[in-house]
Amino acid sequence: MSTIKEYLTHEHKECDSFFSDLETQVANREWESAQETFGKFFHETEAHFQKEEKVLFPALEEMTGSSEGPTQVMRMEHGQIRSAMSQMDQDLKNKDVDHFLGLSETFNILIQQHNMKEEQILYSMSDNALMGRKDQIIDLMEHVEVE
Amino acid sequence: MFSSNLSLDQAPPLSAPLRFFLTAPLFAIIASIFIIVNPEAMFMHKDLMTIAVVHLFTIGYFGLIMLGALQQMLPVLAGVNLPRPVVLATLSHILMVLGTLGLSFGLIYFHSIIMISSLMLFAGFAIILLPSLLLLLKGDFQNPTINGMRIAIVFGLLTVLLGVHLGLSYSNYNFSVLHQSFVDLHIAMGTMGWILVLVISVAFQVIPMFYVTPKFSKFCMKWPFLIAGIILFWGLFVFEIFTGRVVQIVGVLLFVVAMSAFASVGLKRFTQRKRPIADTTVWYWRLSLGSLLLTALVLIAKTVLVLDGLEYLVGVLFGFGFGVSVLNGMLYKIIPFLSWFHLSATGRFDIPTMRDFLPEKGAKRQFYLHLVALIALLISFFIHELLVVAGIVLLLSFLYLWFNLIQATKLYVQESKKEPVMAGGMSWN
Repeated sequence: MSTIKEYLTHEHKECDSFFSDLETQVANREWESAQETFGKFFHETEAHFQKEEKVLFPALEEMTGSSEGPTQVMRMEHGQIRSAMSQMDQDLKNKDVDHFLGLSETFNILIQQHNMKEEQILYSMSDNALMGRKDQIIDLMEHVEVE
Repeated sequence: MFSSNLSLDQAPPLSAPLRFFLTAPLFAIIASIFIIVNPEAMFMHKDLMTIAVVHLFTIGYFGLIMLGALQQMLPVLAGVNLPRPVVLATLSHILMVLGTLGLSFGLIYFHSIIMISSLMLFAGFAIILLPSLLLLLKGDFQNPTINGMRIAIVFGLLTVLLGVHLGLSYSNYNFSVLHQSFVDLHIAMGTMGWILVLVISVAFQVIPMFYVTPKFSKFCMKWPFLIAGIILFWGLFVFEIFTGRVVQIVGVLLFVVAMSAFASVGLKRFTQRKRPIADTTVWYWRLSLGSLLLTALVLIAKTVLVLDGLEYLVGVLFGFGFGVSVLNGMLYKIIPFLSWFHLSATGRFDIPTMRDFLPEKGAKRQFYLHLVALIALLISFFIHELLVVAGIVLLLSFLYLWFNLIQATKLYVQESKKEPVMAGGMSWN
């Protein structure tokens, strides 16, 4: 069975790959495929966030007895990322290449920085702190209902 | 468990790093003016004017930007934050500005202020570097970038300490018998141990992250340690514990291999980008890595063929071609991103994008000026009279860079004065 770190890092890579496809398609003004890729990208990212927000973060917060701190910052960054995604959606509808590419540049750094914090710090901590419940946590995340 | 010093906090307040980024170009502007005023000095090895220009770039430009960027990178890389970021930044920044001005003008005009300026620089560096080093050593998490940054910070501090010693020698004109050995070690530690190792370590993270390329291999990740080893070996040579021409050639060749290995792998990564968009920062990286390769070639020629007078070329290629290029590229990413990031964290929704903060057109034009400056500086090696013109282009390129950064900052200030709008009920402040 994989670790929490491996499981969630793999999802980051999938989202990254959708995102670079999306950027290429917008740059080439392939609007139809861009719409389709955005749909997949949005769904994957949202599902990943909800796995963390509904399962992993509460489990960590339970261990520490506090909802302040690292998980709070991660939730906040999810908010920033969601807000950027909804603007990208708008740009796709308006076929606004320049604004989209300006935004996607920002988005790329934002999300890479966020992923780096999670992969290098938060996930390693999760594997340590939740060692005994690792399989259960992954199973719960696998079955999260995405709203 | 969560360790007590862990914080995934967003970032230090923007003013802490930004003051370093915005003042750094001013030192490069002063350096350009020195070159225009006294071009012939640049071809005279060890002329005090040349030493002043070199330090305006290494401390005023590279040093300041590094101190700014470090504050920004600690939370992302290692999950640690400097305590009281604004107080530390203010103190360090004032000392660095006064120290750099004091050292460069002191070397040329008033030798009496060299000593106090060197001490101010040591304090300015140490205020940020020492706590950063302690946090990086204590941190529970390791990765190749953190390891490399530890090495670079240690060499940076040693370089500055040696610099204080050399400053003392210049201020009272009392040079020890080992003076030249100290100078050689100061240069090797500053260029290879501090600048090169720092750029390499940051590249491990930043190139795959910004440009979506394959990661650097496990072997590459060991470079900072290998370079540290080569510097120790070189130290034994400059203090004449190992002697002989063979030792010298082996030492230089080891540095050359390290530089060209990094430059080649780095350049290859830029051909493997998954993001198709080649913005100005991609060109800055390519120019930087290309210049590093050329530096290696010139070093071989200088050492193996015993060609004299190539210090100028090494300085231009390594300092300006490699160092300044990579920093300019980084500034063009960092400042627009941080502007966006800090506005976004206040819950604003319709924020200008990175390209609004730093329009690609302005960045590209500035890059062309930078490129012309580099070429003119290189041609001046053969036609000394051309250096005045090269100096003017250099001056223009830094003025343009500064203008671009100031425009971005102005837009940030303007936007941050607007009433924040809470986006979709999200609960950040």
